[in-house]
Amino acid sequence: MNYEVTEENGVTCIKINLKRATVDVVKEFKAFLFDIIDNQQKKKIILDLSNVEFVDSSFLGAVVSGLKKVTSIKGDIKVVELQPPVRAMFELTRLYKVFEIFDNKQDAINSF
Amino acid sequence: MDKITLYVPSKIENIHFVSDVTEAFSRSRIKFENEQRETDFMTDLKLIIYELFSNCVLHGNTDKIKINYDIVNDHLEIRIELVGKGFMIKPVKLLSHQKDTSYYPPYPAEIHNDEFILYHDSENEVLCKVLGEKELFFKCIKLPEENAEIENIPEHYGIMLITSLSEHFSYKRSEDNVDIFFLKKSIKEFI
Repeated sequence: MNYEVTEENGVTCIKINLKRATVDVVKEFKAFLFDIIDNQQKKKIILDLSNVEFVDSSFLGAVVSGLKKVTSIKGDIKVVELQPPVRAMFELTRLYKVFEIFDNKQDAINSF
Repeated sequence: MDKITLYVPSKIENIHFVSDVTEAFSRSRIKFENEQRETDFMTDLKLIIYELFSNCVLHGNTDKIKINYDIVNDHLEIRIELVGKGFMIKPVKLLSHQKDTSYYPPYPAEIHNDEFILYHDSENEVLCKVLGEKELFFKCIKLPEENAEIENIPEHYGIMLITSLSEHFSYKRSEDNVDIFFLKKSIKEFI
């Protein structure tokens, strides 16, 4: 399963089980994320990237689309456990300025 | 002989293969100073090649992509060729004298030597200079830092990543309508 969803204290955690989160999966990921926001009406979302070794800009673009959608209904997406190349990508794209990034899931849950 | 040429069907599922070949080429040709330098270089390179190849597949309207790798004077050179529809200049922000339109080659004479903004965020802009009917040069410039508002942040970063992680990025359409993207990445800081 590429995306594993768990619920804890009203927070939805999506664990990405892909080593490379890239353009070839972006369509299915975006549909999956939008379904959680639009149809399941989840507003507090954590993206667990601990298994991801590399992300490209298409995948990040989908995450940004999700963030724009969820913030318009007063929700948020927070990201946790970034491996160094993934963290580098958040820095290069300046997305660390708009996403709250945590070292572990529990801190992210507590921050909502 | 350092040069290698790869012909790949223009399909998005080939992107990991292309990335792996690009890494393998670099590892076999470059003697890195240490493991950290190698990791840093490979991270940059992967970002570049994912953006280059995926954009050629998604926007190139072609069935085959040719990729050349070479090491020349402390630079890794990547040259991508495809028989496509040409690079479309589509500004994200207009200067006062510019029209709200997009351009395919041959680019009209009135825009030669003009610069168009193809990407804008709170810290960077990517400019594309029109060098002639069928030639462009891209560069990333730093801006005075602004606040990043969620609704204004871009969702497409390809051209910014390619230009900020390389020393040279240009485009040319040949007389027989082959689109050629040429990129140079310095290896000096990593060896």
